[in-house]
Amino acid sequence: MKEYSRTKQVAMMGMLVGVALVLSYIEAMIPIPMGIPGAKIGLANLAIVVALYLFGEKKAFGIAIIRLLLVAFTFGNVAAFLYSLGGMLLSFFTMAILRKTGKFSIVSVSCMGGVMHNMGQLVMAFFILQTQVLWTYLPVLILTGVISGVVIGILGGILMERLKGIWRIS
Amino acid sequence: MKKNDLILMSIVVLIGLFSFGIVKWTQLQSTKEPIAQITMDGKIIGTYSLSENQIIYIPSKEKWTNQFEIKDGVIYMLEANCPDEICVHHKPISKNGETIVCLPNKVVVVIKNGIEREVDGGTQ
Repeated sequence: MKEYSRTKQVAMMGMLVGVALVLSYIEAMIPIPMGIPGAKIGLANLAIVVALYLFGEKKAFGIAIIRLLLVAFTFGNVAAFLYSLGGMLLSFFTMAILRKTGKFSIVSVSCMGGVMHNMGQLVMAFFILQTQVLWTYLPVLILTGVISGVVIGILGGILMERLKGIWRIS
Repeated sequence: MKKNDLILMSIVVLIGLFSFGIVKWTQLQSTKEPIAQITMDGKIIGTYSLSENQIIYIPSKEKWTNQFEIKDGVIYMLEANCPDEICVHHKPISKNGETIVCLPNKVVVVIKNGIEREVDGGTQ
């Protein structure tokens, strides 16, 4: 991958943080008809996946953390922040490891990210709420994670194609 | 899409479907009818089906200490001889794990085998 100048990198990462924040906001406005707490579309993951492929793990992790904090400070709350933190950490490390192996396409990396985000939230919720009942949500959370992750992965793939021309990514 | 992708995703989907099966199966196992278990001072006084309308007296040296009523699938404290009567004002219970406690008389009623309580937390 071509090395960007520092300024250009900062500008692009800033843009991705902005995109991630706006996507989180849009997602918060969409009422989810499934009635399953924790099942999300994970729109913001689009920005994180693209960042992971454009800038590598360290910088993408930074973007993910900043996005998390910004969401918590603007329209989130403490409980939601803790759940998101669990989801984000598990999701991010899964995606980073899968990408590192080089054996999987962006679609399955994003798919696993979606599933693991839901898993992380579930584990966090289990520790906070201490109810066994939560495990009955596991299958639904896995399947919605797969679907949303695949959709985000396909979108991410298209986006990477387009960005190649603009940001001259080799 | 590579071959690896298909393998990984089918494994995940299979795990999802498998856990769905397990959850459904455990739910089928626990569809016994709900019962109310009443204990006094740690000792079990009795268990009562919630489908049978009845009034239960908790006996003591005097006439009784507490009266429960089971009506239309819920149980609640009809009367109690304790001074504060917090238990009497408690809402009727019917779901798994719900309890009514009368502290002065050390009487506890807990629901078992009922449908699960609704989630009391969420996230966005």
